Amino acid sequence: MSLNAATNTTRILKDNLFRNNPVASQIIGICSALAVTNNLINTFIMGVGVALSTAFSSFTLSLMKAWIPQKVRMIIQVLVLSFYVILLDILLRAFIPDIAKALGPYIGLIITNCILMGRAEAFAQANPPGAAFWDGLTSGIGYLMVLMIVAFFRELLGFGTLFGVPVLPDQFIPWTIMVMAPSAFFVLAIYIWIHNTLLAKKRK
Amino acid sequence: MKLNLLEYKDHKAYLVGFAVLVTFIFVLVLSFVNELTKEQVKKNQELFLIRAVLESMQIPYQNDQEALTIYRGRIGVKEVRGKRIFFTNPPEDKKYAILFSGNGLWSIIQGIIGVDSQFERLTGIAFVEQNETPGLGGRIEEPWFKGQFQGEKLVNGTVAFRTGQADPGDRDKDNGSVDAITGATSTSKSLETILKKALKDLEERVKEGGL
Amino acid sequence: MTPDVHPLTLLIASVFTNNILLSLFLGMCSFISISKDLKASNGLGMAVTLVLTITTLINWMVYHWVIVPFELDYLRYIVFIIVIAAIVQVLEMVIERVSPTLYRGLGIFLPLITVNCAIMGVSLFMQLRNYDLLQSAFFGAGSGLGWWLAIVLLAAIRQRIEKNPIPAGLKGAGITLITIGIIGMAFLGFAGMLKVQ
Repeated sequence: MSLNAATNTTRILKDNLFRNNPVASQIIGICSALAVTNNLINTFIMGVGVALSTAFSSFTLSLMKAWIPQKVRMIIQVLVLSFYVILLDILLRAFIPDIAKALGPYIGLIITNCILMGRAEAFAQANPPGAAFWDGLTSGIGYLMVLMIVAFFRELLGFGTLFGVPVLPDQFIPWTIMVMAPSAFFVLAIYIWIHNTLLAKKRK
Repeated sequence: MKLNLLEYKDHKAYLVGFAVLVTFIFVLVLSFVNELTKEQVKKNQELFLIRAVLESMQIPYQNDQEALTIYRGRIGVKEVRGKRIFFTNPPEDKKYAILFSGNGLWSIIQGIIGVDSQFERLTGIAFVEQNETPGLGGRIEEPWFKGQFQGEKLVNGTVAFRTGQADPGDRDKDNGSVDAITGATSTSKSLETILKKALKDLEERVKEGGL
Repeated sequence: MTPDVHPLTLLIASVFTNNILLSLFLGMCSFISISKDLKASNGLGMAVTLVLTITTLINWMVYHWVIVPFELDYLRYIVFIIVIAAIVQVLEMVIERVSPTLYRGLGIFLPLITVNCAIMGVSLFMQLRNYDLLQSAFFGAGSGLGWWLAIVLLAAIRQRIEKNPIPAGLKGAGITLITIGIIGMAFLGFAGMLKVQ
């Protein structure tokens, strides 16, 4: 690998994890997974699912890019995304059925996750397969990271547990609001606030 | 030769041909994978039921294989008036369980609830299928919730759901009540109704079926 | 087994107590960017409601009359999304021919809708929860109306607070998310209103 490629790899990583984090900076892709962020385990699996589907679909679309006619581009993209999501669903149901059961419809919703489509449009279309794979994977990890932070606070304060293990003393009274939907918006908003403030400072 | 084809990329025939070809290949791969895993998925579904029956009767097992052996050897099934009743074969302590299903918040909650031979205490509960909101109503599958039912005394033939408890998990086995799930009132209420009916069904059918 | 829920209950529940956006977070992507503008929000809300009702119905038919008989259950995600994409395309053409005025109002939003997770989400939930045809229709329409209501509310609030002094880091997405959260909390008040039973 040339020096240029190596710096490129780290640059993509940094970009996707921090500066251009899909959730924090672009506010995309939260639809399918925000609902499961009151539980760290479910969030982790959803995040990994999104990261893998994004990586593989970006890779495949990049491989095919020379052959895809412009007019049917969207349909082909959707087709490839659905292919990987269905594959994920089948494999989960066959080999980790308990998880497949817990996540129910949310696996199918990965298809409509805007990150997958976004990376396919913005990056995979114009870059070689390897880079596209890496870009998809890191975008997915950036997404996973933010959701895990949100889930950390929601599970900790809402249930007093982390990954299902009680960590807070018995006297702790769980904040019911953290379990319910609105708290996801609040926690995410605070995260974005911190993210933007830090970024603005760095720019100065 | 290969690149010549690309010159016709925006031609209608290429468009349709390409879309059809890609769809065909992907669907082919998927049906192949699906075919390969079909057996496994079916086995998993059977296992879910078997594990739920054993769990509701508090019969321990180490792994799926053992669960299968125990189930085949020690549990009997009989269908009485459209409901599946499970019972332990002698010489074990008699326990009964029923496959129940009813409306949850969103869709059907299906599970198994077991009682001892005298219909005095519950032996346990397990769920086969539910699509409640993950992290809210979906928490009915968590051990602390299900654990509340083990050995719980039946009062008026059922268990009541308490709400508004700060520390979840009712540990008193004699008060005939369990703690509902915080933030999931609808699911808790539905489950309370479902269980009341299931326990009544079970008692009637055990008598009718002469089990 | 079809759950025994009255279609009208389902309609009201999916607008108020279980709003697809506020409690299930579906359809967030276009929600935040479009809600800057009240008029556009109204247009998009209308389009989403229309598309949701139609796609839920057609996906129900496709699922029960094609997918189930041919045992193609594992392909349902692909089928659903293709049906949605096709319907959106057809709708766009029909509206353009029939009513150019409506097209000017709705047309630009239609392509945005294919990738709106709410549409796919409702189809998936409809299938998972085993609703019958009528229940699906009301569930689809209710979810659409709920989404529409939520985006119009948010857009109106955003217009009001636009000139308020807000910390720099919270401007834009941050304060919008907090606003959605507060609307969501207000909607929690509807929870006791009816029982989905």
